[in-house]
Amino acid sequence: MANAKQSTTETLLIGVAGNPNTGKTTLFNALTGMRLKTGNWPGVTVERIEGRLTHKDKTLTLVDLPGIYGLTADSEDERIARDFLLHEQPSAVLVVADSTNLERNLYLVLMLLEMEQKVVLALNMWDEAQKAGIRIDTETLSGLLGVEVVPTVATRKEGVEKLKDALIRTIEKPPPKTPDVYPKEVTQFLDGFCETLPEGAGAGARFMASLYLGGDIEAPVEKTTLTRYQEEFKKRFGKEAAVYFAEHRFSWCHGVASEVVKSVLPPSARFALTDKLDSIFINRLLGIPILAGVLYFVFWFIFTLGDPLVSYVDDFFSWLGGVVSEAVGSPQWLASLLGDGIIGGVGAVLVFVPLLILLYLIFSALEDCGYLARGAFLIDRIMHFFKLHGRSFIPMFLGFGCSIPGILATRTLTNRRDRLLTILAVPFASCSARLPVYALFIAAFFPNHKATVLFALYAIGIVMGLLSALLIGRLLFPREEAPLVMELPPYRLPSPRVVFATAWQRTLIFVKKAGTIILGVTVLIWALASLPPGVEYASEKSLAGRLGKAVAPVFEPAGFGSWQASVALLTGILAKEAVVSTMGVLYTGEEVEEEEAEEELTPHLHRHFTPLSAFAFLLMTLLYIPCVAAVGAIRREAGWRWAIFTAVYTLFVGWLVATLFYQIASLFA
Amino acid sequence: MKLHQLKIGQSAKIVAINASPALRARLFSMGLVPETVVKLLTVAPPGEPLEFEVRGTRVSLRRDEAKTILAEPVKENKNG
Repeated sequence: MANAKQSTTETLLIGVAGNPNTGKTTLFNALTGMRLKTGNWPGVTVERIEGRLTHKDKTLTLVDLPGIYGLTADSEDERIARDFLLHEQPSAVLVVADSTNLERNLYLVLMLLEMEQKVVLALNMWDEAQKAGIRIDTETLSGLLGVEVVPTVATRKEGVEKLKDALIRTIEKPPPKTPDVYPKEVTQFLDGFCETLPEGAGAGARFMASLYLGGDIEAPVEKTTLTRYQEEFKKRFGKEAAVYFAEHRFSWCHGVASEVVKSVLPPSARFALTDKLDSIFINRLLGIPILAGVLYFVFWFIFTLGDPLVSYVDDFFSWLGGVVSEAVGSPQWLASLLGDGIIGGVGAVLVFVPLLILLYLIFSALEDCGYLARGAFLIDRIMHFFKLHGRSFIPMFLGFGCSIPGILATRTLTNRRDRLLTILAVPFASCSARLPVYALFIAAFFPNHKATVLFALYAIGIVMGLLSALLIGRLLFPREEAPLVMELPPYRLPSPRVVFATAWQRTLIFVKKAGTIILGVTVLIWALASLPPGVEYASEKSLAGRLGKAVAPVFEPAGFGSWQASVALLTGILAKEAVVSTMGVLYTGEEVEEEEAEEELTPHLHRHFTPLSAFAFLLMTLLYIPCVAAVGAIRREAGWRWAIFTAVYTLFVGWLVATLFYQIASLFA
Repeated sequence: MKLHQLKIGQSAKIVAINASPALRARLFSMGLVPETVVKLLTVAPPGEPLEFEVRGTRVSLRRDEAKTILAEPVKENKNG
């Protein structure tokens, strides 16, 4: 964003690392003032956020690394961080640590020092540590680590200026000496192993060697060489390398922490409030009812508050589209392109903004206060049955309101496999936009079984979603485990400023990233329905109509092989409720008001559908391609390939389920 | 004994971890390494996951994950 005329000054790259729940992103925003540039990490779909900071004539580019506990694992997040450190060679790394829990946070710091990085350590949540009676001797800590240590309170921007000074000073110094964690024999052994490696003995080589020996990541040497060294290591030092290094690293962290941290209150003080709250929130009896209550509140907050706002935005764009069309007048295609195509498309993007802001507000608040992890803890058993993570539950639940907040909420999942599978499952939860279609058909064909049919649709949706996650998980990630291993952070009062800033920032990113595809497909479908010039919208002679005719035979086995049904499904990709309005135009030859759709369309529907084919059509509507905005959201969260895969997969599942139902039910009918 | 066999409130010192390399690396980075004393705090209603106190933090594990960790019981409060 802000890189126009700064190319003359050299920019220095700074990595910002830290454990989850340390306020890393808050501190990142406090440092960069939220002038952000977003992209993706190479080869993966995790978002890469960069911010700029100018201090003392120096321009620093800060890169927000994923929240990680260590650097040894073969997980996506730790790999990203490792590759960044090795290949992009930052000028320094800022580590954000939670002052209330120095020991575990030092583990990451130590590994960065082992990688011979220039490190600045921010002791964040300093105020909270003070309150919990935790005193940290920063001078001694700085001496032991050989790096600058700055206490900070990111939510109040305390310590931020000092941190900037420390960064500038650190960049100019040589990297600190690696702490003596292992006996000399071990470092010599590592050096010996390094010589067999193609990269030799450069900076951080010993650390990488320790990972290869530990079997944490694949070593760039012959398997026999590696095994020989591993066995030699075990023989000489009595333990497997992975265990040996982890033990020594933690005992070093423990040693340093015991030296610099003094507690003036008993250690349990830090968790006093958390324990009290947990005895309620994850209570065996109360936990689940409270979770249900919280979910209900989340639903209410997003959809009850959001829906009226959504219709204001929607009405505004229909009005604007109408005004523009009228103002342009002729040629008619141009008026329609501007009014229905482009303004309609922009509206299709912006219409979700109120929902997104509300989603991100409540979500950041729940995440920051620590409740989300508790919800996942309570529900994990059920989700694990479908090989999903406890945290997958909330996105799927939100999907019943609208797929887009659901898909965006999968961000709370840190494991790539879990995130992709949950994204796949979310659109199967029947969103509220599908209701008008159900209402129309149920009134026409199942007036005496309204609730049963509706319930069946919702149930089939969620079952298909969970089964899809299970099946696709088996097929695409056959060997990947999806462990729970989740930290339950202490409860904290979220900072309203941070929550609002996060909500706004993420909403903007959505509009930018998902907006293109939503606008693009909206214009494309407009073109199909309106061309060649002069045809009625979506009529038989339009491109859409011709396409519908060509495609219709595919749906013959599902019982709804009319071209009108195909065109309705095509426009339903824009938004599922569009199925109703398109059917209105196609069957009656004129626009039908939503309120009158039932009455006016019922006789037409009876001519084109039987109860069986009607239900098959509803199954199709439920399951096939989520609307274009949902596909845009998937593209934003998981990339193009997953978005296209989801669209094709759901289309196939919709067709398959509808066809199977129609064929089997016809046998009995 | 294994970690899932602890009673609520009981502490144990980790002896060994027999997990796959990927799971083991994750457990290590959360502070679950041999010699660490952990304490079982709570169990979720359906019998899992389990919540442990580990090096001043709270970590939840499924039963199958806890089963990979070998430990020996210790008397109360020799925090590791």
